[in-house]
Formats: sequence, C-alpha cells, structure tokens
Amino acid sequence: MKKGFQKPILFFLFLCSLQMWGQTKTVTGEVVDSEGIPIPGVNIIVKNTTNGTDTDFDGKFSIQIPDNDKTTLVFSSIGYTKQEIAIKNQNFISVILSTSVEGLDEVVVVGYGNQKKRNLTGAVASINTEILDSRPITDVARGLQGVTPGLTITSPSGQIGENPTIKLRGNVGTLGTGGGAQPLILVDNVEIPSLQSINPEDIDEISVLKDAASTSIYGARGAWGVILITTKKGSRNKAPSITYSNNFSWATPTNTPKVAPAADGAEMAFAAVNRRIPSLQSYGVVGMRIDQLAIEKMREWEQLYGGQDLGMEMVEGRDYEIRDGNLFFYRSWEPRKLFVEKWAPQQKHDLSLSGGSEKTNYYLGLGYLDQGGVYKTNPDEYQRYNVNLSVNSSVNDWIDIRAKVLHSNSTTTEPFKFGSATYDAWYYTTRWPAFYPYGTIDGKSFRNHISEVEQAKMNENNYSLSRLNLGTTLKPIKDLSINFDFTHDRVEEHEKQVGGTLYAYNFWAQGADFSYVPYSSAAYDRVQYNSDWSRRNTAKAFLNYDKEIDDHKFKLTFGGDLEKYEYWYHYSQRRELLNPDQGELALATGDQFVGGDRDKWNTLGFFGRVNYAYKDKLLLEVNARYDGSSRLSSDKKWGYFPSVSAGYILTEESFMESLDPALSFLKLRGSYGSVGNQNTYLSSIYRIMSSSSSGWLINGGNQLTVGTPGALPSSLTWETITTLDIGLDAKFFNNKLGLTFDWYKRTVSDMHSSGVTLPSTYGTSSPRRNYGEMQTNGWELALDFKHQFKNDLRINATATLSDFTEKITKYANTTKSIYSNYEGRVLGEIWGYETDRFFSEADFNTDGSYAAGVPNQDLYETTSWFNYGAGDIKYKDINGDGVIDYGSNTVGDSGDMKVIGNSTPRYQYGIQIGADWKGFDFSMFMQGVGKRDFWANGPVFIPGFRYGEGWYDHQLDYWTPENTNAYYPRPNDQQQSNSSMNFLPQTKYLLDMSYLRMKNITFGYSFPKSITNKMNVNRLRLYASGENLFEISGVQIPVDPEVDYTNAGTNDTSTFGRVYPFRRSFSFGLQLSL
Amino acid sequence: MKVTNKLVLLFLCIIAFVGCEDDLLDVPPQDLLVDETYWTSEGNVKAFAFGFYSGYFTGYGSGYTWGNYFSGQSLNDDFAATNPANFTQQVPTSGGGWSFAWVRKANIFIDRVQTVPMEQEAINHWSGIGRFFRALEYHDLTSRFGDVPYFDKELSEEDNETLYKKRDERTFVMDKVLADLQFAAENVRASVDDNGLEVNKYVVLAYMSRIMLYEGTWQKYHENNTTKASEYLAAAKWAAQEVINSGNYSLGNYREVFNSLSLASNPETILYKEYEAGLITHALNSYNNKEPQTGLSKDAINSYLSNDGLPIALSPLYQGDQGIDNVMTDRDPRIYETLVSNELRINGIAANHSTTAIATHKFLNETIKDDPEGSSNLNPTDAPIIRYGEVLMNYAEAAAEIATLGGASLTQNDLDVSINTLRDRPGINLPHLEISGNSPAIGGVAYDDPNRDPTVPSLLWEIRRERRIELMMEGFRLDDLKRWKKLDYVDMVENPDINQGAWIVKADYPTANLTNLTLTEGDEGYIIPASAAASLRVFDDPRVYLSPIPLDQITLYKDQGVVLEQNPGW
Repeated sequence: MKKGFQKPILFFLFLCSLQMWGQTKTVTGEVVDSEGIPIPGVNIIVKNTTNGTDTDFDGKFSIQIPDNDKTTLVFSSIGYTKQEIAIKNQNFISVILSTSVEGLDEVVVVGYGNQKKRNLTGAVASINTEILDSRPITDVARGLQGVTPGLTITSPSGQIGENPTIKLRGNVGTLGTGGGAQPLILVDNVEIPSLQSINPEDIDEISVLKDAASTSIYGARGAWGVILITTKKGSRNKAPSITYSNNFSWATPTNTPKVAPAADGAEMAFAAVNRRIPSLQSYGVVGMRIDQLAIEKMREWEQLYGGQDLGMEMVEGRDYEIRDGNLFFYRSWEPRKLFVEKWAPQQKHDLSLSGGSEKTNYYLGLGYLDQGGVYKTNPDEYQRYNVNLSVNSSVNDWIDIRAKVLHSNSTTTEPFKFGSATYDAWYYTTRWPAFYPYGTIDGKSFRNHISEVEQAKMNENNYSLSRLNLGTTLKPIKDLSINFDFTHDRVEEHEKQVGGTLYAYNFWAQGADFSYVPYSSAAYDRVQYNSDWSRRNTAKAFLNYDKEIDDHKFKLTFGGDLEKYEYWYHYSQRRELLNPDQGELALATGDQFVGGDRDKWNTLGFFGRVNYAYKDKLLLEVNARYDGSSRLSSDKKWGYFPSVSAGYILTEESFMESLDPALSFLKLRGSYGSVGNQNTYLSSIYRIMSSSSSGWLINGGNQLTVGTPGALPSSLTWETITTLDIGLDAKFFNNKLGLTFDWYKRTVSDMHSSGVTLPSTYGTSSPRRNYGEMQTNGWELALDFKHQFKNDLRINATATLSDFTEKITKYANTTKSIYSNYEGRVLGEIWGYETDRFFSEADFNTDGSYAAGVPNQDLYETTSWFNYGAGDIKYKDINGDGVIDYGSNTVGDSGDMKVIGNSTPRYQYGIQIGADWKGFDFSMFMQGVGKRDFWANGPVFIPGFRYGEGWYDHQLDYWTPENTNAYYPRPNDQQQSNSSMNFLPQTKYLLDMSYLRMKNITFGYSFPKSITNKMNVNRLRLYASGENLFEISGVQIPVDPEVDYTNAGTNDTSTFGRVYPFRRSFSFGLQLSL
Repeated sequence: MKVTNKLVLLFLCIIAFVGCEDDLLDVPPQDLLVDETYWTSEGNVKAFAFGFYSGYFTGYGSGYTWGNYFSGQSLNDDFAATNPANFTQQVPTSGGGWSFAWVRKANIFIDRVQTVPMEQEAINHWSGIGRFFRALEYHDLTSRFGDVPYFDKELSEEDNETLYKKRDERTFVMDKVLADLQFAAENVRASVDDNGLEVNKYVVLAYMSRIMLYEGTWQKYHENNTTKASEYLAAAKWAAQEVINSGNYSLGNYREVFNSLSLASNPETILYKEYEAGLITHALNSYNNKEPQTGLSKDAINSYLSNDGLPIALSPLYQGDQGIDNVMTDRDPRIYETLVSNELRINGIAANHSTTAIATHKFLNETIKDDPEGSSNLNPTDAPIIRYGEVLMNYAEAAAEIATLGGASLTQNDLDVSINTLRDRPGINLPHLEISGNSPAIGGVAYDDPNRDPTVPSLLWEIRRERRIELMMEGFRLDDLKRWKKLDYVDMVENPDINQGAWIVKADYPTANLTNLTLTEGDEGYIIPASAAASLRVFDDPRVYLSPIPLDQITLYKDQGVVLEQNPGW
C-alpha cells in the first residue's frame, strides 16, 4: 500500500466511527395489537442495518439507535402487518400492529418467480411448513398428507425407507402412460426423484401448483401439477443463528390380522375342504397333517398349557406327534411375539447455522435420522445423513451469485430374502395356522421365517443424492433481473446382497424324518451387487421485468430451460460362496450373471409469461410454453402450450366497502390452459424388440431372445392436458376466517390409446394413437381460522376437503366389457352383485334344486363339487329374470351385476387445530378419506382362500345351522379365488376403506425469555407428540385402512393385508436456537 | 443502458444457440432394439427364434407349472381325479385360445429372414424354422377350432378385408401346414450348433409325423375324407421313416428319458429341454414323490399287457387286480417304470397318497428325491420334448391306418421297425407283436382282446394300446381320443373303470380312519376317486370335439358386416 493513501482512509474511518460513536440514544416502548394486548416476540430492526431486538413477554422493548432524524424502526411479526416508524426525537413509542390480512401479502413461490398471494390468479396452494414441525416423520411427503386439498398421498405399507405415492388432482391421470397423476416435484427448481432425500428441516417454502395456468410454464414435465420446494438460504443482515432440534420416538404396529386359534382354524379348514372332498380324512399342508384327532389334541394342549411359558423346545407327545409316519403339531405359537419388537425406536437430530451480512447470506443444515425396524433379530434399519449448504452473495449492486450444495445419503439394511420380495417375512408372520412349529427340537429349529431371518445376512442399500447448483442474478437496471442457473445432480444407489444356505428341519419335504438339512435353493448361495446411477444436468435462463405505469402493473417473464437425463443400471451376481460371511464377487466360484439397463432423454423448452394488474384489483396472467422432448415420434417432437388466468378482487371496489369487516377480502379467479404429457411409453413410438431370457437353456446358458415387434405406430404426439379452474379466495371478520375454493375440470385429450378395436386375427394389440379422452372433475375447499383472546390464548384451525372423479369420455372399445376400459367408465369402479342374504334350507327342494321363486345360481356352480346350500351367499336377482348371471359381461348386458363401489378415494380431508398460551402450545392434526371401496384378494379378506393355510380370528364368526346370523358364510374351499362361489364381488363384503386418522397431537412448551436469556439461548422449546395415534374406520377386517397392494405385492395380490405394518409412534424432543 | 442491452442480447443468444441444437431431441431408446435395425446377422435371427421355444417346447414347465406331462391333458381315461376335469360348458366371452399372436410372430420372422445379409443356405434354413413354427401353430389352431383363417403375412391394421376374413377350410389350412413342414424338412439343417437343444431337420420330421398323423386320422374318422387322410398319413409315415432311416436315434432305458439330470447323451431324445439348479427348475419330480397325486385309473392299468405279450383277459400269467403284488405280477415291464409297484398309497394313510392308491414315479429321480433340489419347485431333471419312441409309434399307426384306406398293407417289417423295436428296448423285452392275417399275434398265435372296442379292428386296437402304454402320462391321450373320435371313452358314467383305482379291504388297515373313502362295495372294493355323482363327467354332446369361438370376436365381425361362424353345437 502506498503511503499516500493511508492517511485519507484512516481519516475516513475515524469520521465514520465518530459519527456512530457520538450520536446514539436508547428508545424504549411497547407493541400491542389492535385490541391493546401486548405482542411478545416482535422483531424490531433499525432500517438498513443489522441492529435489532425482540419484544419480551409483555411486548416491551429497548433499543439503541443512532440519534438523528432519519432513523426508522421496522416492526415485524408473523401474522401482523409490518410497520415502519420514523423515531425522530421520541424516546418512548407505543406501536399498534394490526393483524395482517392473513397471508395475503405473503409472497408465494410460483414457476420462475414469486407472486403475492393476493395477486395469484391460478390454483396455487402454499403450504405452511409448520405442519412438518415436531413430528416424528421421516420425509416431507408423509407430512403433507391431508394438508393441501387435491394432494393424495398414500403408502401401501409401513415399510421403512420407502417413498409414498404422491398424486395431485386424480389417481389414474391418463390411461395412455404409466405413473398416474404424479406431480413433478422440484427442489430449488430441479426435479428430485425421491422426497426421502430432503430433510424436512431444510425446507423453507412449499407451493403446490395445481392448474394448467400455473404449471404450463413447466411445459411437458408439469402435466400433473408441480410441487415447488425451496430450501432455506438464510437472510441478509441477520446475526448468525444456530438451531438444534431432536426427536426421539418409539413406534408400534397398527392393525394387523391375527391368526385364529389352532383348533378353531383347523375346524374351519376341515369344514371347507370337506365340501370339495367329502371323503377327506386328513389333509396336509407343507409336511404337517391335520385330522380330527389332531384338532382334539390342539384343544387339549390349549387347556393344559395355553398361556404358559414352555420355552422353545418342543416335546413329542405334548407339542407334536408322529402317527403313521405323519407329522402332527398341536402346540400354538404366536410368531408375531417371537418376531416383532413391540416398540421400534427412531431418532432424529438436526443442526443448522444461518445468517447474513449486508452482502452475503448463508445457511448450513445438517441432519441425521435413524429409524429402527421392528424385527427382533437382524432388525431392519434406515439411516440418513443430510447436508445442505447455501451461499448467496452480492458481488456489486447489480450482480448476485449463489451456490448451493445438497447432499443426502441413506442406508437401508434388512435381512436377505430367501424368496421373492412378494413373500417377505411379514407375509409369513401370518401365513400359517397357529400350530405351525416355531419351536426347536434339540435346540434346532423347524423351517420357518423367523429362523430364516435369523440365518440371513444383511442386505445393505445405499442411496445418495448430490446436487450442485450455481447461479447468478443480474440486475442491470431497476426492475429487470436476469437469472442463469445450472444444476448438476447425481443419484447413486448401490445394493449388496449376500445370500447363503438355510438349514432347518425341512419338514415341508421330509415330514417326520427329522434331519437338520440345507433346504434353500442353491441359487441363493450367492452375492449380488446392484447399482444404478443417474446424471441430470439442468440449465435455466430467464429474465423478469417489472413495470408500473400509473394504475397498470406489468410483470414479464421470459426464458428457456434445458434438461438432459441419463440413467444406468447394472447388476452382477456370482454363486457358490466360499465363505458366506465374506460374500464378495471375488470369493465365489459358481455361475456368474450380469445384466443392465440404460435410459436417456432430453427436453428443451421456451416459456414466457405476462402478468398484468389494474389498480391491484383486475388481474390477468398469460403463459405460453413451446416444448420439445426426445420422448416423442421424431416428426412430432414439439408442442405449444398456452394458458391464461384472470382474477378480480371485488373488495377493492368501493361498493363492497360496506361489507367490511364481515367480508374483508374477496377474489374471484379463473384459469384455462393446456399442458403436454411427455411420459410416453417407448413401445408406443418405436417397434421395440425388447430383449429377455428365453427360458431355454443351452449348456447352462439361458438363451437371450427378443420380443416380437409391436404394431407399427401411427405418429404419436403429446397427450394434451387441459384444465379449466374456477376459484375464489375470501376473508371474513377482519381476516379471522379465510376460505379458498376451487372447482376444476381437467381433460386429457389425444390420449394414447388404441384407435380401434381389432379382431384377434391381427395378432397383437392395436397401435397406440392420439385417440382417447379422459376427464377429471373435482373441487377443493380450504378454510382457516385464527383468533386471539384477551388472556393471550391464541387458537387457529384449518380444514381442507377435496374430491374428484375420473371418467373415460372417449375410447375405442366396441365390446365394452365391464372389465375393460370403455367410454363412460368411471375409473376405479367395481362391478359386482348385491348380496341378498344367506340361503336357508327352505330355499331348496329336497333334491337340492332351487325352490320355487328362488333365483337360480347354477352359473356359479360350474365346478363339479360346489353347489349352493344353506349358509351360502344368496345374490340378489336385480333384473328379476329368475337367474343370477352376468349376461355377456358387457355394459348394457351385465345381468345382475352393477357397479357396487369405487376404489378411488373420495372426500379426502384434513383438520388441524392449534392453540398456544403463555409459552404452551398444542396442535392436533386429523386426516381422512370419506369414501373408498375395495374388493381385495387373499386369505385375510376371503375365508378359505387357501384352506390349508392360516384362517384368522375375525373369520370365526361363520354360518353354522346354530349360528345363522353370522358375518361369514358357511366355510368353503374358495380355491384361491376372489370372484367365485360365495365370494363373487358383492356389496356385503366390499371393504369400506374410509377412515379418520388422528395423525398427530403435539404438546409443547417454550421457555420464557426471562429464563432463556439467562441461559444465553434465544429459544428453547420442549415437546411431546404422538403420530398416527388412532383411527376410526369402517373397514370390516383387521387391516390398516390405508393398506394396499405393495409394488412387490401386485405380483400376488393374495398378500393383501400381510405387509409391513403401519405404525403408531410416540415421540418427544427439543428445539433450541442460539 | 449499454450494459443492459448487451446482457439481454447475450441472454437471447444463449437461448437461440440451445434452441438450434437439433440433435438434442433425437435420442433413440438406449437399451432396446427396434425392428428397423435388428435384422442384421444370423446370430440375431437365431436369438429371435428362441422366442418360439418357450411357447412350444414347455417340457416340464418351470416353477410350479408343468407342461403337458402328467396332468397336462388330464381330461382322459387314464387320469382318475377326485374332481375330474370337465368339458368346456360355455362359450367364452373372449380369449378361449382364439389368438393369432404366434402366427404373426412366425410371419414376421419368415418375412424378415429373407433380407438378412447371410448365405442363401442360411436364409433357407431359417425360413424353414419360421415355417416349422407356423405349421405348429396352425396345427394347434385347427385341432382346436377346425376351420381357421389362414395368414401368411403380418396384417396391417387398415386391411379390414383380411382382418375380417372368413374361416378357411380346414384342409386348405392343413395343406399349407403340410407345405410348410415339407419346406422345413428340406431346408432345415440336419445338424445345428447344439443338436438336441435346437430345432434341426429331425425335430421337424418328428413333429411332422405327429401333426400329420393327427390330421390324417381326423380326416378319416371325422370327415370321411379318404383322399386327404391318405395324403396326410403318407406324409406322417414318410417323416417318421426319415427319422428312422437317419440312424441317429436309438432306444435306451425307458425311464431315463424322464428322470435324468441330463439328457445330453440320451440316444432317444430328438429334442429335450435342459434344466439347471438355480436357473430353471420344475416341480414334477417333487410331485411324483412328496405330494398327494392324482392316480392312474383301473382302466389304464388294465390296458398294460402281461409280459407274455397278451392282454390280461387272455394271459394265463395274470393274477387279478386284488392287491398291488397281484396287479404287478408279470406285466409289461413299462408298468414298473411308470408306476410304484411295491406299495399302495392310500388317502388317509400315506401323505403322498394317490387318488387311486396307485402312484406314478415315471418322472422321479431317486437319487435326488431327498435333496433340496428333489423337492418343491427346485427339480433340475431334463425334460424330453420329442422322442424317438413317439416317432416309432407314429410310424406304426400311420402305416396301419394307410392300410385301412386301401394303401400299402401293414407288413411285419413295419411293426418290427416300430413297435417291436420299442418292445426290444433294454429292460423291456416284451414278445414281438406279429401279424397273422388281419389279426395281431404273439408267438405265431393270433389273438383278439375280448375287451376290445368292437368298432376298432383288432390289429389297430393293439397298436393304439401300445401307444397308450408307451406314451402314458405324456399328454397325448386326449388328443388321441379326439382324432379317433373316441371321446365316449371319457364318459365316467358309461365307463366306471376310469373312475376306479386299486382294490382294497378297509379291514386290512385297522389303525387308519378310512370312513370317508368310497369303495365300490362298501368296506372293500375298488377305490372310487370321484365319489360325488354330480362330479362325474359325461360325454353327451359331440360339439366338444371342437372348441367354441369367443363371443367378442363374433360381435366384432358382425359390426363389420361379416359372419364369423360359430362351431357346430355352440
């Protein structure tokens, strides 16, 4: 540094400090609301500085400010309108903050920009992230269930580490492509494959864009709505703040089916199978025999030893017997007790550091989650680490740069599955009758799933997401900003599976010959690595320009985006491990297998938007997007999707003033627009010959073959999704009560579907065309209420309710089978019979034929042994023709069948109630589905589905001549069918899956400032909460009302209800900020 | 402002530059092949052809399914089930086997092969393979439905005239099948990379003998079309003769064809399906060992000759059928290879009981039966797909039928190269079947089975018996009865023998509870597996010789103003 410059600089610094040093004063005051009640915790900042303080419990404050005429204080608090007060020469000020028109001035994130809530014209919901607070939830999606109307979030089982399904405004969406109405989920404007990888604590804001007008700026990717999530980034001029929070929780299973007592179950089984084979004396199932004597012995055992702790060792004569070389078991077991931990622990720790100077703001979030599974031995576990780092800095007064790093790493461990994922340990926990042996003989166990889990090595699945975002905003002139953002995103998933060889008394194959032998297939003696990884590069460039000319406000957005996606999958397997404890590819000697997949697509789009507001009461927005995708026929890769929306704030008109404050705000809005759906099946575009194993071995090699190419497709273009949305937002009673309502009609036109029904002679399915049409009609309602009592008690409540139906309005199908898609079909509909009652003796003549006037059910007696009799189901003869039949199974000729229900969830709702008083807070959240029907499958649902396997407690109430008022008909061997004999789809047994669930109750206490200040702590809150505490449901069988076929379970729907259980949990934790 | 202009310009440039990158959106599927680029080498052609194998060469199936073996054609007079399979009762709404997907696959294959860059010889070979599979499919379709529309190319969705074509005459279709088979027999290579595991000329010939025998006898018994019958039977005989003359195949141990871990060196299998632990396994071995099974009927057991070559009604060696030892004394040794001959497995006593107490072990490999791979669905024994033994039977029957139609008469040599070769098989050694005039003879003495169906000539009766025994539980019986127009054999009311099993006396099993076991005479007698009168199958309508056409197809045709005729009686 040259000497000559030193002096002036020093002098300048001196002047500055002198100015600050010499002219400060202390201002005190209090802040109250419009009713004179003090408001604690109001943030007070000296304008344009970082200097600030908060009000205490009595609304009092004290602050040092520069003593000049220009100092202005800014008072802000959530729920109140921000107020700026010039201090001038006052030393004490009293400030009245008025409650803000709740949320209306709040800024909501929309596509490529922000918008004031009051000026929104599309259907956009912003989610209060407080709902995620204090809950032992592992991912955002589960936390959003019931929060926003229109969003349907379901999980088919309680499996840990698994993504729930998220749908927006619909369930199926379109018949043309897979995936259903799944919205695009963007975190910081870039798609994220799994919400599990985002720590709920890092989330700043969530918006849900529902209608075409709001999503069309995302073009083809936003066909089914968009969920926009922005992560925290710290704020400018804020002292560093450290927060720490934790949560410890314990979970226990909700409803799961219970296997019937041994003797009762076997009795039902006999009654069932003897109808098919009257001569059957004894039946066998996997090496066990059951006869009448065995049933007596089971009863005897129950009387003598039931409830006693006999240890694991099984005693011949008491617990089992070998008669005529056959193996009989008498002792009852409760595999769930042996296998399942009553309480599974979970813990969560989150630490963040955030703050900012005048030029820079930063946020660092660290998260740790450890969720324990419920197995007693070799328990499954889910662990996750999150890092989120964000830095924003102004280089000069017109260049901002930002960088963001997001990393999430999770590990799921679970025991190796000796069998398919369809039949996991959960399935087996309730698969067998109660007498299935879980004990030991000479300390060694029988073949059962518990010993399989005990012998299993642990699979390890590691999932990681890393994302780097670099961006800049240039503001060369006032009101213009130009943004460039580049995001590189990599997802890696690596799994290691090590099998082995299972040992047990394999009585399935060897019956009474007790030799302890290996019984698992040699194919499981293996190590396998599965890896998939993807790269996503996204570049976005857009500019925003705001212009205000008198009463006219304009806002322009224009830009483009580019996305490149690539995906790889690879697995390698080698058999015959040298040492199962060291399962590695290099340490195996047997056959080797490899396989893989590859995928790649690119999209490119240009978009523009104009917002116009006249006097802030007439609002108009026009969007357009020109979108290209590599996923469509080469000559039709581009699509143009315009949309328009408008709003009218009536309360801005003078003629409405008289209604104030009863009606403090009213906005009517409407939108109309279309978006494309690019999720086309490749087979619709190309004559694909996909490769597969032929199942034909030559010298140990499974010969590769390729499929027959499909029909030559006509040139396909986008499916177009057009949404008409009409809504209103209103605030009543001085903004205490708010209401938002939307009605919408969404039409999928040009739906990829067969254009024509072709005869079988064609030899393949008809080529896809842009032919079909589907409509979703729905409405959404949200209410919120807020009130503060004089005694400081504050309450708030929100309620949401929504509904939709999906209907096919155009479809080529001339036969119109009731089991196929046809024009007029309401999706989810269930065809079946109306149940009349049980047959009685009087319904039959002595020769077994139907008595006069009793409709004939011969059609369902086709199997040679099943004839309806007393105690069986009598269906209603709806068309009165004296015969129960299905006509030709077509619409218009469906005999006595009709639509008896619908599996689409209807009237989904959520209710949240909260209160706080002098540091105590309480909140309660309920969520439910008003109507949903389901015709399930499998033994839990249908008694006698497989007579030899487990029957269940709830099935004991069956018809006998002595118990004619039973719930279930006379036992019968249903032969694995959910659509025959006594269990044709019908009204009586149709499951009512509606429910109301107490999702969460939380009690918390925040220590007052007087205490926390002494501890040098800004805020300290302790809380306890319960999740999924109870539910009220109409479901007739002991399953969780949300249970569904899992992904693996769809391979065999008889697994219904026997899946990883949903869980209730109790938790406590603390939140601390320094 | 200058800076601003530059920035806006830069922004627009970037956007425009990206927009011009046209290739960006040209991303063909990465790991999928498409029709336009697939047909480039003989290796690719071969890979496509393996796609037919799973459809036609099911063997013992995989997992818990099995192919036509054992219970594959359970509706017959061999298989005595508790709940017997019944004829189709109703016209199906859709499906019902009326599918042309395999025809389309074969037609696409034949079409694409023509332009693949390879030698003409290779083009001919693979054309032959394609036409062979098309022939198999059309044989399946005609045997099921009779007249069917014939297509020899892939259809276009706009070509309504062809799509809604009327059913072609059965003989028209079968002439095409014959032409395909002849082409295949001439052009398919005699030796391929893996003989026994890939279709070669002899696989084609073996199938040709089966298919043409079916159609020849159908034409004779159902259509009275002597000309076509003779033509098809001649083709069957010729094809079988070609296989015999090749000298490539011979007979070894009977049961080893069905229970070997490897059929690679088995001299009898013309085509077999390989199974391997951990890759593809089946459950038939387990079913023959561990599980309760459906047993063989008394009628089937009685059809086995005594080991003097005479029917049991004539043989002095026959000990009657009371007790397993008596049943199994001095019989055609194939009975020991097929059935468990030292014990009855009675329902209520044995866990792995049989409905008739007579259990099958034809498909059981004793060495692995207690190992994990012998149980559940982990069985690795190889399955024969088509074997020399069947070809010999096809030869014998074709030759005998040709004689009844005024063609060359059946000679002793015809029997010696076929049936008597089977009887000379190691471990069988049954006396030769001889011709004495028009009658069968043993040791120079003519005989006539008193239990013979009087409408079947005595020599043909013996040939059909030989076929039933040789191919027992291999999934031929229903097809055989259909083409002979003998479905009345499966009527359980008319033929109580087919619903009876072993003869037992309940008092012989004092400790067992057999109260529910139904016997012909109360506490003793033959076991009646299907005891409920309602479950008895009757044959009262000849319509079941052909399957019904599904209703939706008839409606679709009707909408186009075309009549798709239903089969008679449906």
